[in-house]
Amino acid sequence: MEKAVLRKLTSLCIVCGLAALVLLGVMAIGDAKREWKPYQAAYKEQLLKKLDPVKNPVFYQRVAGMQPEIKQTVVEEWGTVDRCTSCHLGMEDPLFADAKQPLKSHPYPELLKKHPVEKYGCTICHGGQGMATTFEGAAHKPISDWAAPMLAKGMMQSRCGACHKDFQAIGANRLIEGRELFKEMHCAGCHQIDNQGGAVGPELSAFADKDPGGFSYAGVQGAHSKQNWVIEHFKDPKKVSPGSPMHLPAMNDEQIESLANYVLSLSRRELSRQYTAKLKADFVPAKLDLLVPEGDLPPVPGEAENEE
Amino acid sequence: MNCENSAALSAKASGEAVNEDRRGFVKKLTATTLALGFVGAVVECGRFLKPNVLYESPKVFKVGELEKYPFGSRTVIEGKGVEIVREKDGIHAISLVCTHLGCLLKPVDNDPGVGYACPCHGSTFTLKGEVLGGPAPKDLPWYEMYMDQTGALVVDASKVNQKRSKLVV
Repeated sequence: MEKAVLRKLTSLCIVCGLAALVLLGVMAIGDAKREWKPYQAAYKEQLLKKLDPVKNPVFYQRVAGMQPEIKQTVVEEWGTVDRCTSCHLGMEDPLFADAKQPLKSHPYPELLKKHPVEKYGCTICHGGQGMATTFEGAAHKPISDWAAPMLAKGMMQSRCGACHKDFQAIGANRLIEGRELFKEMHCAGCHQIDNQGGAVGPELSAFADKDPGGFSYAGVQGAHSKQNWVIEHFKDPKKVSPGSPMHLPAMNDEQIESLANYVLSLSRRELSRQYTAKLKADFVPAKLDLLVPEGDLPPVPGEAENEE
Repeated sequence: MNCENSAALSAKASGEAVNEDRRGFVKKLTATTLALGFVGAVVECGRFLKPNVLYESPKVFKVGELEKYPFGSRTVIEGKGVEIVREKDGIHAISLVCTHLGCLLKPVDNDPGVGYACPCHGSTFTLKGEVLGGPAPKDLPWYEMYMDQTGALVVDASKVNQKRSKLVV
C-alpha cells in the first residue's frame, strides 16, 4: 500500500478512536449523573443536621455512610414499582415537614400512617409513573394519552373511592357531593352503575379502568388525559362527544370537579383483603337510580327552545 | 468532518520530511487511545453486571415500633423470613432461612436448648442461630438493625451483623 494512504488511514483511525473515547466518556458521565442523586445528597446533609449523634449513634453512623441508591416499593398485587422515594426521601419523616420539595414530608401524615409507603407505594393513590426516576418521566404534569398521569389536587379523592366504597366512613366530601349530583341530575336514567340505571348511555361501573386511548380528544381543550376529558365533557358534552344526546344543567367548576371525582372513582379492579378497606357491617351501597314521574321533571332548556 | 481533517493532516505530513518526534507522538496517542478505550469499555461492561436496582421488595424494611416487642418476645415478620428477638440486653433480627437449602425455619418454644428447627431436613439451631444438628452447614446470620428518626425499628437484610451485636435502645 502506498505510504500516503497508510498515513491517511492511521490518522483516520486515531480520530475515530478519540471520538469513540469521547462518546464513552459522555456515556459514563451521563450514567453517573442522575437527577435524584443531588436530592439524596441534600437529604443526607439536612438529616445529619437534624439528628443528635449522641442520642442514636447507630442511626447517625448509618446516615453518615449513606450511598446514593434508587429506593423503591414493589407492590406485586398491583404490579407497581414505585421509585418516587428516590427523590421524595422525607415523605414519612416529621422532621422534614418544613423542607422544600422534593424532600418535604407528606401533608397528611395521618393518612400516610394508614397507608404506609412500604406497603402501598405512591402511585396507587397519586397516579403517575412509578418506575421513572426523573421529574418529567414520573408524569408529574399531564402527559398526553398517558394511562395514569398524576392527579391534580382537586381530583385526589377519585383514587380514594376506587378502594373505599363507603364514602361517609372516610369523609370523602368531594365523592359524596359528586354522587349526590349524579343522583340529583338523574344520570342513572341513562347510565348504569352496578346494575342500577338505564341503558341509553355507556355503562359506567368500570369507568376508571377504561383506557384513555379510547376517548376522542378532538373537542377537548388542554391535556389529553382522561381527567381532563371528563371535566371538559361535563362542561359541554355536545362539544366533546358530538352527536351525544347527553345534556347537563349548568354547574360551577367545583361541582364539575366533584362529579368528575365520583365518575373516576368507579373501578371494578378487585384487590385482595390485605389492601382493601373493610366495610362496616351495616354498609348499604348508595341508591343511585331515583325514579321521578315524568310530570315532575324540570323542563330541559334545549328542548324548550326547539319547540318554539 | 473527520475525513477532511485527516486528509488535511496527511497532505501536510507528506510534504515534509518524516519527523521522528511526531511519529513517536502518534504512536503514543494510538496506544493511549486503545488502552483508555479498552479499559473504559471493560469498566462499562462490568457495570452492566451490577444493576442499579432489582424488581424485588426492599431489603431494608421497617418492622414497627419498639412497643410491639416486649421483653422476652420472639416475633416472626411475615413474608420477610426474619424473626425479631427482644431480650433484656437488647434486640436483634435473625434470619429464618435455613442455611442448608433455604427452607423457612420454624421457631421452637417448647425446648430451651433448641431455638429453630427446619421442617425440611431436620436441621436445628440454638436461639442465637448456631447449628446444633442436621445438614445445615452454617449458623443463621443476624441482620443489621437500627432505630430511625421516627422511632421505628428497621431491619437491613442486605447487611449481615457479623459481630452479632444486639441493638440496645
